[in-house]
Amino acid sequence: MTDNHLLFRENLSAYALGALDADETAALQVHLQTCDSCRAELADYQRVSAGLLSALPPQTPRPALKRTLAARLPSAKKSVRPRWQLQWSFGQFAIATAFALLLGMNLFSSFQMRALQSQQAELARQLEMEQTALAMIASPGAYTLPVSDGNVAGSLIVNREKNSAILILSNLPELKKGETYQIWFIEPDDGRVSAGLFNVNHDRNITIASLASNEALQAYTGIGVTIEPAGGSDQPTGPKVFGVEF
Amino acid sequence: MINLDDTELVAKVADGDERAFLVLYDRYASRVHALTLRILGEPMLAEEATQDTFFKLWSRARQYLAERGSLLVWLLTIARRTALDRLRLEGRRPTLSDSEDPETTWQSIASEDSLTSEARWRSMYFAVQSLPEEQRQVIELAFYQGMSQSEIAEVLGWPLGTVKSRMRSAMESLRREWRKDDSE
Repeated sequence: MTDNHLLFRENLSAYALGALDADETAALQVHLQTCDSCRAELADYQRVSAGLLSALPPQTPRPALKRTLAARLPSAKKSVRPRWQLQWSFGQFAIATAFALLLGMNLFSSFQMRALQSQQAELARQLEMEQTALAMIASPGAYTLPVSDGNVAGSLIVNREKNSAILILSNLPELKKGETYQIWFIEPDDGRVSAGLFNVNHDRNITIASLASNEALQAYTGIGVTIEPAGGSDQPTGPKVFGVEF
Repeated sequence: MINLDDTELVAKVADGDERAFLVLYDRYASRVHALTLRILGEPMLAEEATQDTFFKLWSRARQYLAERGSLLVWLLTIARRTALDRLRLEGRRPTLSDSEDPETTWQSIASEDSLTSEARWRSMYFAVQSLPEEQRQVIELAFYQGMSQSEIAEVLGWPLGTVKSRMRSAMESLRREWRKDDSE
């Protein structure tokens, strides 16, 4: 046994505790390669160290730790949504919400604007029809034929000189979606020629419809109105609402 | 699954069996956490170290060799290094060792024949508690705080020779206690 061996032996217990400085550790590891008695004694101290590892009363961690651990296992990772969706900050979420609200408001405003424009166009058309009707009533060659069929009442104003006619109706029932009123000129041989489509203006009591004809009104013996599918038909297919003879 | 022994469970963990992993967690989490809490002192830090330890079990299960020692000691050795490394990161202690090297882990573990009943190891707790205060201090600072003898001398303001002699005396007492249990 050398003096060096005794010095190394004194360090065995500290080595087992991991308490030697780096240079002492390196020197002892070299010595251990050739010294059986030091290796045997070290094994004893290492048993003590192993005992120290578990020489503590158990401490149960919070249950949340197991959940966290389980959530990071591969199967849990497969089922979670993409990370960017989960990790929005409050600020990012607030900006996204504000953006979505603005977009929604813009779309709503756009739809409102279109609806207003549509209403405005309809009002302009109605106004034009009323002005035309007034002009026709006031014109020298015009005459009025009564419309009376059940609840429906009104007038057909005809101006043969100007080859035009207008229907002014009240109490006309509102149709179901996908339906339209269609006006027909009645030919002497009982044929029918379309004179146009119209729908009830449910905001007003009076409905005004203009009749369009490529032929002189003298060619026809009267008019009839039927209910047809939206877009109209080539010939009457639906129920007759009323008729007026010239 | 719950009736399988450690070696069988670790083999399943090595094959990616998450249920086996969670059974081992249930079996040893309180032991690992006791050690990380003792070393780090703060529950949140200790939980992180406990979690890291079990992730190392998940990723390194193939490195476990049953013939070299019990799973508990292997796991606690990893937990000690993990917690001491965390102490270093927190700036509370100098670095101790390379905890990523599996062979280093095995070198510090006693051989298989010493790894018998846990009841014996629990008696170590009382053996440490019964040490003279100055000897218990150096053991705790070295083992649970990762301090070298030089650092302990500096912290306690004792001569280095005193630290060394008290550490040797403490370890010799614990070794005798261990051998006494061995002979009973």
